[in-house]
Amino acid sequence: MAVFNINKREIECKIVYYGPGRGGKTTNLEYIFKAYKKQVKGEMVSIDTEGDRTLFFDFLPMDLGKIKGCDVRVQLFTVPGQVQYSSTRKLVLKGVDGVVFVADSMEVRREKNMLSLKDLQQNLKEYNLSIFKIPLVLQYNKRDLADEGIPIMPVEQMERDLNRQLKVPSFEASAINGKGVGQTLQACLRLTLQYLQKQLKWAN
Amino acid sequence: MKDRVVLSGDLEFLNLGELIQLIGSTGSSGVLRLISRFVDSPGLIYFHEGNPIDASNGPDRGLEVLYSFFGWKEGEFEFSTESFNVKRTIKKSRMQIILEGLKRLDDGQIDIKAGIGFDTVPNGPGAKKRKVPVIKGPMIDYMDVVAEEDFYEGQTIVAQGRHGTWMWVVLEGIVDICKEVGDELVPILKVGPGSFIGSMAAFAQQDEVRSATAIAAERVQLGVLDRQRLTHEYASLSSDFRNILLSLDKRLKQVTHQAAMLRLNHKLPREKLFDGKTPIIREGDTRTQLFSIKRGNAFIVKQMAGGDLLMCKLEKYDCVGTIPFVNIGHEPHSAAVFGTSDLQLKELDPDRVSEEYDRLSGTLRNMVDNCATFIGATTAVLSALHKKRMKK
Repeated sequence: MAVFNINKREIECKIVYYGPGRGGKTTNLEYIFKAYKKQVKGEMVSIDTEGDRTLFFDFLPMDLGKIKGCDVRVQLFTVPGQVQYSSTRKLVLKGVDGVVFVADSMEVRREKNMLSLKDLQQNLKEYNLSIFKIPLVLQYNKRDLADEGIPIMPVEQMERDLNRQLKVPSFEASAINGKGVGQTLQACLRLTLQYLQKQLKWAN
Repeated sequence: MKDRVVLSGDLEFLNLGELIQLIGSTGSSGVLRLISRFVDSPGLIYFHEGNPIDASNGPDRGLEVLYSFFGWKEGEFEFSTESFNVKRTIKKSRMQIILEGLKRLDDGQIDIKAGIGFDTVPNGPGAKKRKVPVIKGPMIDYMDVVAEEDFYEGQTIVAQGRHGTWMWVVLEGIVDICKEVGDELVPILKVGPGSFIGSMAAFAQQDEVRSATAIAAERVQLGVLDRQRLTHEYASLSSDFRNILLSLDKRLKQVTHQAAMLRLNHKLPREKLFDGKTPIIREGDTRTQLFSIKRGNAFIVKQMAGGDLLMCKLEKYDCVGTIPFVNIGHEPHSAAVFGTSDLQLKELDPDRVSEEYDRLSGTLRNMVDNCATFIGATTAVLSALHKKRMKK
């Protein structure tokens, strides 16, 4: 649920990076923060939560145009995976407009990915959102680990595991050196804005 | 700028994190006032152009005070656009404050000011400390405390089945409320400061048999209540209102009993009794009527997959429906009401009942609220036990 700020002629929407712990959500956001400095507004907020960090900053996508003459401001968040952080998760997921699911390509994380995706579905449901309707993209992260001889899953397998029913855009990435990070974000932004525009037309 | 309240409401509906976001995104300046029954002075947060710059609670000020407000889960808020003269003590961005505040809340670093808080309590000698829910009451009115009594860890305060009409309010420490079934002592709830020990039914009669056992879980200080003053106040209430209080007390005793039975793996009777019958109040019903039973019996039933859970059996003079001033987690939101074929009800006026509640003394009102919280918490325990059993 995007928020209109009539005074500032601005639409504020929220994109959340979700995924198993240590899968690369924060690495994605850290890379965006550094590489797209000009489009970042304000400081990055970083909170140490157990097992993971929670990040937040404001992002002004340049080349996506305006919606009904309003600028678009995107809040980018990561959400802590641990069950105990329910208050944070609630605040972050409430009114989310788009989701990037960062999956870990390492073979040993296969089950963690699937559990986390299921968890996402469950959490969205609590806010009356459907994982099949919300703008969502998948990212298969840590592809670079293959070069170091660490066993990773083939993309086809990850597609079967995670994207068989969802059928959403998916991207290979290695967030640590920035590969695929921009592409993933752009795709999610595009989907999110299309979705918002569709909702606005319907409202008219 | 003139003093004017531009936004007000309930913290359970809009929590502090959401409020700070809302005030932030509108870029407003003014004062956010938080009012909690569990704290004696209001909490204030000063905003300049959407950003919190200072916070105060009584004599304390600053960022740490603002973080402590994240624990005020129940209460009211009021935002007014007004001018103020405070020094900026908070420099963090609002999202940093929100995320840090919620993290501390989830990590258990913030004291929760609400009916049910979480405390670290010793779990047996040498065992690791763990968080368990502890029911706390609102601010204690010391006007009604006539003496103080200390109990040591493990000491029994009241024993089930014994006679007694004394009532206490917990001043310090945690008390285990247990139910004795046969030879077994079944722990049901942990209650902390502000909670009451002793039932409201004692107001109605000279002699009362204790329905549960209370044991000090650690060193506990209790305040003995002025029973004479309270009994006098109780006697001055309308008979409808007195019946509501007694009926709440009855529900508490029944859900406690059911929870103890389930905890010991005893079967609860008549679980399938209500299949196919039409309830007089459906679960999830949005009507807000309150009734008193004139004849017959009413059954409070939670309908769950795998088998209905009978929580209470009520009779003449008991009340069913929406009690306007407390939430006990029963009908109409979370349970249904079934009736015997001879059931007759009389509708009560919710406004009159609410007015009478508002006129109660602080202590009696706290007792009623505390009883409702006990019912809600025990019902949650009961439902969870039932669900677990149905899974088996």
